[in-house]
Amino acid sequence: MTTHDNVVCTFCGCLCDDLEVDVEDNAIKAVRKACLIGKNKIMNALSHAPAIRVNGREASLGAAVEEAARILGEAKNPLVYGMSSTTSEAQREMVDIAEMIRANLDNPSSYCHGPGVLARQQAGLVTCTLGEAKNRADLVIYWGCNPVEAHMRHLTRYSLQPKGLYTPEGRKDRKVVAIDIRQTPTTKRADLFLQVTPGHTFEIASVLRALVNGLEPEFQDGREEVAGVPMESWRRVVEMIKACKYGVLFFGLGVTQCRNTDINVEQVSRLVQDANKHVRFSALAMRGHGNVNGCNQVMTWQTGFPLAVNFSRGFPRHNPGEYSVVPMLARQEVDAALIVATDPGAHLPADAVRFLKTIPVIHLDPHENLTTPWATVVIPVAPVGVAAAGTFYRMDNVPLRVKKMVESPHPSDEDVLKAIKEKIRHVAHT
Amino acid sequence: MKTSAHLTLIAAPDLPVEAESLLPEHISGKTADEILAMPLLVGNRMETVGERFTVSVVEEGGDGPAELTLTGDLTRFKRIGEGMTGGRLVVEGSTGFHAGAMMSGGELVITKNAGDYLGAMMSGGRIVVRGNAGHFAGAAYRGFNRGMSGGLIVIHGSAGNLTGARMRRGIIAVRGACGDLAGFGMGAGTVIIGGEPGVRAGANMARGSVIMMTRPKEIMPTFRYNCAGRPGMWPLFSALLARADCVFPEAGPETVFESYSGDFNEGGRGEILLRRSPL
Repeated sequence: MTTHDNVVCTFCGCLCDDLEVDVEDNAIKAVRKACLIGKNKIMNALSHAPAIRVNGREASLGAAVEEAARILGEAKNPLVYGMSSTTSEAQREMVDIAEMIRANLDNPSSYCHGPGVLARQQAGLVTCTLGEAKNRADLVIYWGCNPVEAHMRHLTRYSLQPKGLYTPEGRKDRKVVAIDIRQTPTTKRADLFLQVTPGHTFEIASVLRALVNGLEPEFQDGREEVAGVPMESWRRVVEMIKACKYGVLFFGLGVTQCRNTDINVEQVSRLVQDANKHVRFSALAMRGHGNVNGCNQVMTWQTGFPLAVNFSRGFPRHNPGEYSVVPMLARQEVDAALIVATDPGAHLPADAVRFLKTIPVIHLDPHENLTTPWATVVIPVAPVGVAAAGTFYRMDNVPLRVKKMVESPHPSDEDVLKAIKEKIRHVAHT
Repeated sequence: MKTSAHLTLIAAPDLPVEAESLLPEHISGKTADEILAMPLLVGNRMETVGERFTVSVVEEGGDGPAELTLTGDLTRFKRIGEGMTGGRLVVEGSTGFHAGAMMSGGELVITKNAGDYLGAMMSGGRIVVRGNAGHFAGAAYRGFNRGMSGGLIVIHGSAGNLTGARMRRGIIAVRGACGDLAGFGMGAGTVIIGGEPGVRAGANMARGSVIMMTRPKEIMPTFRYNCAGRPGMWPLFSALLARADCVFPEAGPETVFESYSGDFNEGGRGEILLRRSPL
């Protein structure tokens, strides 16, 4: 039996890199230190792989690759989408394919943390690594996120409990504020919990900005409250911000998907900038899928834009809403799709899935899921982080190398995408 | 010679079409065959105008800017009138994204609805939409800090979110309701809203004016009440808009407006003018 140390879990944006995995006879026998989800993901990584299928019939890998290349080569407005749970090496191949076939290219961040990425490009964001948060932060604000249930080891490894260089007492050295629309296991761990009414992220950030800047907000209706919380509580938050040595604000989908999406995050970014006039303060997005941050990284250094890119003119153009996956499918304006390492059947709105079922779809995934039953071409791939190696980007933009611990009967996403790319190139030249 | 051309759509396309080639200045002096040979990007393939439209051309005596009329359901047609510098372009139907974006002169008339980014970052000319407009009318594109910098946009129906966002000059008049964040981050210019405004009007504005005929649900707490009065510019604005067939009958020259200054997070030199309803 072989024990692999410092294994990186690929489930969520935390990318916990301290796991221990026992492997015997090409099978995973035990996983230690992971959260329950991470442990299950690794233990069952090789199970439920779909058969290679073309139009519902089993086929060889070569035939599936050939059919995929034909569909993509003939498409007049194809969509290349997904990438959030595969390696950055595979993501790079997808960008190459999208450019070659003049496709629309998007990733799941366009309906989760994409607004945060857009806000960062518009206004800038003072940010830090999780290591800095662990070692320095004496004020932690969780806003619109619930890491206890969504990023299970975030609090113990990075943000709340760990003993850091300048926080030797761990939790005792930290003040914690939680802002959310309901009580959650995370809010129960906070020193100050502000339960707000939904849809007011922008107003909260605006008022906090004003208070940080020494301005007194004026309420025309006479109510001294914002989002259902009295001004006294917001003043207390600002006092905590101004009194801390190093503050970190972790924001989740409650901020990015609140009414007016990216504008909220832009205002939160400006709040963090204003707080830096008084103390050192950073903000970090609580990224969800393992390598969804890698999608934004790879697309940015390959095309200049983090999401919603169109290559129909042969060069990249960017416009969220116009080239984002959900609105494009709602307008029914794509005629083929290559979908890798995400499950649109489970994640996208019903209307979008209904439309996808009417066009040729090529789907690469390690497991049977809600998309494989109806996809035109299904190609199973080796699960990354278990049977395929590569690069993942953590939520704080730190790249980590994920390991290959066992052999899979299937090739990696990267290898399949390279084969499809070569076939498209060959067909175009002949 | 003044050229007038009328293009009629043969059938609505299934794929998005980019039609920035269809400008009055591009058809001036051209024959029907030359117009039919002009390019259109359909999906990721180049086609010609003749594959999508029939055309009739009339050459009139005397000089004058060209006039182009497009008829049909052009909802999937993007960039109609983009970069227009002169002449008159009439769309008898609805348009998709970017209609009149970046235009610097001439007149664009859309008889039904317009999509998102209507007149985005335009610097001159006039756009009239008889129906509704989408989000980002007269706004800046993502990553840019300067939206519309001149010209006039009149929307007779309603408009979407972020109308006039980050604009730097010019006038946007919305006769109907308007979405959230009208005039967000604006540095100059005027947004006038006749119907019900969305939330956060004028948020983060540094300068400029947002004029509202209907009381919003709330005014951002980063604005401060100044006074009520009859702004001297309103009769001038009202007359200017009337010449563009845009009338706000609820606000005559003697109408009293409440004035608010803000956004104080950005210096507080912008203003919201709110029509005071008669008792």
